[in-house]
Amino acid sequence: MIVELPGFEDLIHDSQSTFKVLLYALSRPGTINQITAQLTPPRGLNIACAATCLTLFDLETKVWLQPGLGEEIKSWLLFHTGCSFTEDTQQTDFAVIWDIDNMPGFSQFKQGTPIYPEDSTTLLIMIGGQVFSPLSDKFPTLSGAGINGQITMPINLPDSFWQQWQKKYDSYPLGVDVYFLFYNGVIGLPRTSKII
Amino acid sequence: MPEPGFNFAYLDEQTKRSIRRAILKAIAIPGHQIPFSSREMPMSYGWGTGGIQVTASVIGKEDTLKVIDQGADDTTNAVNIRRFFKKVCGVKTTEKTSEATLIQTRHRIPETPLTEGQTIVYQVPMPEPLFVIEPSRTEAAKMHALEEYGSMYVKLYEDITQFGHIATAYDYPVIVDKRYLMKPSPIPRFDNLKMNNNPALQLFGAGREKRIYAVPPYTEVKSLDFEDYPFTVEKWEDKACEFCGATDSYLDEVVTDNEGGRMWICSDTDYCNGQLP
Repeated sequence: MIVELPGFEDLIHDSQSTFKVLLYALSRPGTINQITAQLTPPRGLNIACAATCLTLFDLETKVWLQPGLGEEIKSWLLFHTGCSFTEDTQQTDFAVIWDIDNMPGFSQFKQGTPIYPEDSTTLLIMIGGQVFSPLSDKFPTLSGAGINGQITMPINLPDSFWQQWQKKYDSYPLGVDVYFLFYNGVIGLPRTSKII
Repeated sequence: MPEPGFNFAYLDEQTKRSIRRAILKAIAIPGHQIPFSSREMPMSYGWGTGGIQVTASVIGKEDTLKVIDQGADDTTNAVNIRRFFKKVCGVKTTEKTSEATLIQTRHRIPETPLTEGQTIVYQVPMPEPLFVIEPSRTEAAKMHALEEYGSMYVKLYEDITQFGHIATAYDYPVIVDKRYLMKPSPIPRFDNLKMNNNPALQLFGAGREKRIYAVPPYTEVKSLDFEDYPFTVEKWEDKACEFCGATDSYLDEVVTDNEGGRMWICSDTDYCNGQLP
């Protein structure tokens, strides 16, 4: 398939500014951060997710695309980053997810090993506008590294997600890290964040 | 403007990406050392190549960079690294802690409290805190995995039996986020307290040893101690800085003549200048 859509307009500074946003998002879990880089993502990716992929993927990374993400996305990522793709969630460095309700459980992804807990999957979860329903009590409150006291997660996620997250915390430092991506916004959820 | 002929921030984009991924993992597992493929830099190992690679991967054209060496902005290492980044990035540089968005440091944390949004990059010579006890990195990695840090306490205890107090004066081991034992790089233990719950992001780069680690903002950093021998910091009883009169900053002892004359001055030059009337 011929890739027609360009990647970053300014490869060096757009990658840097996007990385800075990802860095801030992960070191301040639960905060909403804006990616400023402009680009036209292929159909099925939002700007934030596309920019994150361009910033973090390269020849050394294995990527798993949730079924439903089309051939256009695959060839766009391959052309611009050179990443390799895998069908096996246990092998992947990054997972791109568009449908949070039907994603595999956290345990299906690479968790790292006790000596190399960093050898784990990072989940890039795209979410739509519906998750910003008004703040309610049932939104979980998080604490942990990067959080000054506590913070309420500003988005509405399926209960099953948080049940799994809570259970997963017991195996820290093993586990997965998550970025939630919407329009050009990013929220980070590292494995250190705990529901209180 | 950056010097032509170099990529922005010297490193190629591929290297930056791999270092950036390592930094993100380091933030997700505070205090845990992430291996990275350290590159050869245009200066020798031991001159801050780890810190420089971390800075080069984080820095953007909007950043304002401050570089200190033992607290001072005007020592060789600091001047060289600042000039290097000015050359390859064309970024603004400053000596004022409060104006900097990015601070690279060798062996001190500025006296002026850091704020949210600032990033401090430490140059680390030896990242492995267990090295003095267990020279094998493979074994040390297992000890980290098992959270087996008893022997580090024994080492501090031996200090107490020998000297009556814990004699480790710099690079004093800490536990990060209640999990990983970490070396804070050779900062005086006076600075250890500043690491705890700091609003700024703290990144550590060891070039020769090829390791990156991090302490996210608002993260607990606890210096090892005992109930009956609590952690203490250096004090200079009745001394004040000869230049600015500060009594709350870290003081360097400077020998002034052959007769044993000496004076005490602030190690942090920016702080010292700010205190002057």
